[in-house]
Amino acid sequence: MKWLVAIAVACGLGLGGLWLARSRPHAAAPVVAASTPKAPRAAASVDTAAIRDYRERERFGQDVEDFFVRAPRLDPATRQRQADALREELRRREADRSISAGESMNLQIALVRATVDDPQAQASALAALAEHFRTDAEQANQAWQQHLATDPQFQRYKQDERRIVETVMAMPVIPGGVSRDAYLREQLQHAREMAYRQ
Amino acid sequence: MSLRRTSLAALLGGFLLCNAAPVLHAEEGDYTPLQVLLNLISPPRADHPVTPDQRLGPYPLLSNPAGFADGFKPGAYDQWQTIQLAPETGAICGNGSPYKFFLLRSAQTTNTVIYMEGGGACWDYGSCTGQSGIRGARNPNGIPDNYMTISNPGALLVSPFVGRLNLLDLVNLLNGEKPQLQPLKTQQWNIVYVPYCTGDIYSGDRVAVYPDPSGQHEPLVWHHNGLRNERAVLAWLKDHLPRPGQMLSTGCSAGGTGSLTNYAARRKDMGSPRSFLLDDSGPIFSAPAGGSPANYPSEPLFAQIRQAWGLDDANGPLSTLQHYLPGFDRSDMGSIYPALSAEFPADRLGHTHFWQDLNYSSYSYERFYPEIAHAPDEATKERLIHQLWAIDTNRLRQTTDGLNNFGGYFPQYRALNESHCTTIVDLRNGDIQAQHLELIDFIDNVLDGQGPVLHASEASDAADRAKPVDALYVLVNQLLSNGL
Repeated sequence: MKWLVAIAVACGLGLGGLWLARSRPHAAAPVVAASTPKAPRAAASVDTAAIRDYRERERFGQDVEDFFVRAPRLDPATRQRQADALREELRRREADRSISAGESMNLQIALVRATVDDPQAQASALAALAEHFRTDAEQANQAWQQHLATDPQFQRYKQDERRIVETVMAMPVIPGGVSRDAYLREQLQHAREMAYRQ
Repeated sequence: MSLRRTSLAALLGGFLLCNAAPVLHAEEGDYTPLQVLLNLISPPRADHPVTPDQRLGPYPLLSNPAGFADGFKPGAYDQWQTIQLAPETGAICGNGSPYKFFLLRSAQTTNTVIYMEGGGACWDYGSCTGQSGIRGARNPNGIPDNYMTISNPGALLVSPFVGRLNLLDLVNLLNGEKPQLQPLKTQQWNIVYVPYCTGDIYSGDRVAVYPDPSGQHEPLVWHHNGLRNERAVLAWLKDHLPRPGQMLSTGCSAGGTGSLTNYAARRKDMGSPRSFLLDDSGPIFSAPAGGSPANYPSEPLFAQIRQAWGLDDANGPLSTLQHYLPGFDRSDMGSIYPALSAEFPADRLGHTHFWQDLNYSSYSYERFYPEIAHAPDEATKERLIHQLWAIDTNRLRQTTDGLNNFGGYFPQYRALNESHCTTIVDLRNGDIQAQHLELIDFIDNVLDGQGPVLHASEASDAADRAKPVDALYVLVNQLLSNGL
């Protein structure tokens, strides 16, 4: 009886795998399991958060494509509502790092262009978007600089670096038969390892 | 206990079923559907870690020490993960801050894109400190952990090779064109984003001490550490991920050059069954050491960087490149093209850039030719730069024309980013109209073609300049020029 259950679940897993790997649109890839409709019950029984997340990410990509295909034929209110929904999900995707800033920026520009018909209004919306990008980049840069300025390991290394450079550049003879450049690099490498040793 | 045994049996049975079934995977390196499912539950581990031999030599593959918190989560698929590299790996940014890279893992395939970020170059105090008015190098302050989610100007120049969304379609649709519904196949691969912070096209190995010409500040200590960073990234990939069935090395500008210079070592150390190179706008032109700049316009630049980045040092970068690539002639770095073609005859390799590129060309000549540096106006400066670029490009085109598996694709002009980089933002307007070719044809030919790799060059920029203004390009150019 157990083996019957095992075989049934295995079949479910196999079909579930097919469901996960529905054919992709790239032409070079042979079509596989394109007609597999949806997850069978057995596959659902081994569903996990990882699998759900995986499917959700795939769905988002498809939603984005679908929106732009349909957008020209949607009435303005519906188009705006769907675009807002995509923006909302885009924010979540940025937060969970499943989309990069570059992709997000291009997509946000595209959403403005797809939803704002009036040229002046579109220019204003894009200017606001650019300002948001600029602020985001400035804040992130400042935060990073602040992090480095207060990072004790980095600061310790930079102090050591300054001292070692002065010493090595002033040495009349480099020990070990290596070049000054090679010796300096070795010394700084050692200093880094010491500074960051936890 | 009974349930656990049943689950185990089910998994085993699934595997057997899968293996007994007809071909379920799409391409070499792809997982079967069942394996995808299993990967989501239990991520696959590395199967080709760094070997003891690879930990030796002038540029060893060095791993993070045991217990180091690199930030990797094996099951975090399709999320940009920041991978930290410890000092012990030899990796470091130019300013001495820790180096890191970014991974977008796929559950579907072992296939991997290694994308090297572009961003100029530097070889003195002004260019390495990011001083305004001088073309310098990207990220002089190092790489923030959340780099991939920061809306910086460079992020706007994202390549379709870096991400899962099919933005090619969006651009086409917004321009009222027929959507190109087929994304690049590599968009579903593992994507490794290698950031740029050393100013040495991922090829140098020297701690430079650059004095401030004004004498107002302390000398700049700058780590041209690109080659060691590449080695550390490679070591991590080998130690943590399965061997890629297929591997694409690509990048634009400095990232293209880095993909080119690091291809041989990466190719041999990674050992992927199928391997591709796409160098976008990062050429290494022929310039024999001591050659006449009139015939070899890049010679003055190369003389500068050979010294600044320690390229010629004993057992240094060029010596090591020659070790991996016996056909490479250290006295003429442009020999890398025929050397790679001969060393890897089964690989498909490609180079592309615009004839009217005004960015990489400016780096190459502007500071080395007084008549350009002191040109009376911008038009004269551009004309002089284009003249030198044409000499170099023409020789490279002739070189690739003679190579079966190293294609060259040279369109003329695109009204984006000074015609620099063909594969950023979108893949449009890299067409060669007279031959009815689009840039995507070249990319597909490199990645999926049979026989000799495509060679094509455009003779005139008239058709490109006659195109209507592209609103997206205008916007991107504006955002870039304003520095966001």
